[in-house]
Amino acid sequence: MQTPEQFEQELKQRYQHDKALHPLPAHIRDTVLRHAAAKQARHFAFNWRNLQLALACAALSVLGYLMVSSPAQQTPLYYQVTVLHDEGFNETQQHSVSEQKPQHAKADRYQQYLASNQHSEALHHQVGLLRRQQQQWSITVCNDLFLTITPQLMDKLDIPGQVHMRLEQPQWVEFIRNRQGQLVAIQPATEALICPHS
Amino acid sequence: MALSFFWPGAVTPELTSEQLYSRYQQYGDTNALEQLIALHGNALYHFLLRQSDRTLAEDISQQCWLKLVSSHACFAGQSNFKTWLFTLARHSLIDELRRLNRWQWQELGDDTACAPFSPEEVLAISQQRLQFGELMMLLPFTQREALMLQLEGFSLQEICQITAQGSETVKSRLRYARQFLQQHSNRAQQE
Repeated sequence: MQTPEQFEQELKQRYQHDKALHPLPAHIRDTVLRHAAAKQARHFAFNWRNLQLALACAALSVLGYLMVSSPAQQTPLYYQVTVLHDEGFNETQQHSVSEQKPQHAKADRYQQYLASNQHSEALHHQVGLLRRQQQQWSITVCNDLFLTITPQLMDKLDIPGQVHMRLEQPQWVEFIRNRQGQLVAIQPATEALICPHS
Repeated sequence: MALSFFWPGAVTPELTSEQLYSRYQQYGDTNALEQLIALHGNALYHFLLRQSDRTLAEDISQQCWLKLVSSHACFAGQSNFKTWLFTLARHSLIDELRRLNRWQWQELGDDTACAPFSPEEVLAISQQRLQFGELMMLLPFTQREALMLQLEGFSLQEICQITAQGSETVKSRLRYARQFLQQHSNRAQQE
C-alpha cells in the first residue's frame, strides 16, 4: 500500500519518464525553423524593396524639382532694344526681354547708336509720362522719345511700391537706364516734365 | 541586450520565454525561436500526444509553432508564454477533433461527479501491467488533461485558464483522476 506522497512521487517520475520517451519529432522542429528563416528572408527582401522604392521616389522628386524649377532660374533672358522712327516722335524705342538671343547686327546697330549719341550720359536719368497701353507699357518724353516696355520686362524692373500703386493711371516717372541704354529702374518723378512744344 | 541588438544571435540563456518570444517577434531572431522550441516543444507535444494520437499531436504541434512564426497567433502577455502556448494548442486540438468528428461531447459533461471505472473494472485493469500512456488513456479527456497539465507544472489557476474551467471543476477532475490512478497502483502492488 503506497502513501499519497509515494504515489505522487511515482506519478511524477512516470510522467517525466514518459515525456522523455516521446520528444517532439525533429522534423517538426526543422520545418518550423525553416519557415521562420524563410519568413525572415522575405521580411528582409520586403524591407529592401521598400527602401529601394523610397529612394527611387526621393530621387524622382529631386529630379522633378530640378526640371521644373531650373529653367526659370537658369534660362538667360536677353534684353532687346529696337529703335524705330516714328512721325509723331523723334525716336521710338521698344524695350523687351526675350529668351532668344538678339541678332548681332541688330544689337550692334543699337550700340553704334548709343555711341554716336553725344548726350548719352544725359539719357541715364530722364523724366517721362508712364502709361499703360493694352498689353504693354509706354513712357513718353514730350515729342522726343516714345518708349514701349513689355510686361515681362516691367516685372524685371526695380519699381517702388508707390509707382506700382498708381500703375493704372498715367504718372510722371523718372526712368533710369544703364550705359547700354537698358532700363534698370523706374521711380516716381519729383515734378512733371514741361515740354517746350506742348 | 545592447550586444544582442547588433548581433541578434547573441541570446543569453537566462532570458525568459516571454523575452525570447519578444526577441523573435521584434527582430525575427530564429535563435530565440529555437530556444523556445527547446524549452516547450517536448512538453507541448507530449501533452497533445496523450490527448490524441501521434499523427494529430505532430500536426497540432507544427500548426501551433507555425502560427507563432506567421504571427497569426500573437502572444499579448496576459499570461505567461507557456500557458498561452498550451491554451492555443488545446483550442487547436479540440477544433481538429471536432473537424474529424472525434470529439466526444459527453466528455465535456459532468465527468467529475463519478469515477470513470467501477472497482471491478479497476481490478481488471490493475491485473494488466500498463504503461503510463496506456494508463492515462483510461482517464476521461478532461481529467487526463487536468492531470497532465498539473504534472507539467502548471498551477491550478493556469490549468483553469488553459481549460477555461472554474477552479472547483478542475480540482474535482484532478481528485478523481488521482483516485483512479492510486486505486490502480494499489491493486497492482497487491497483485
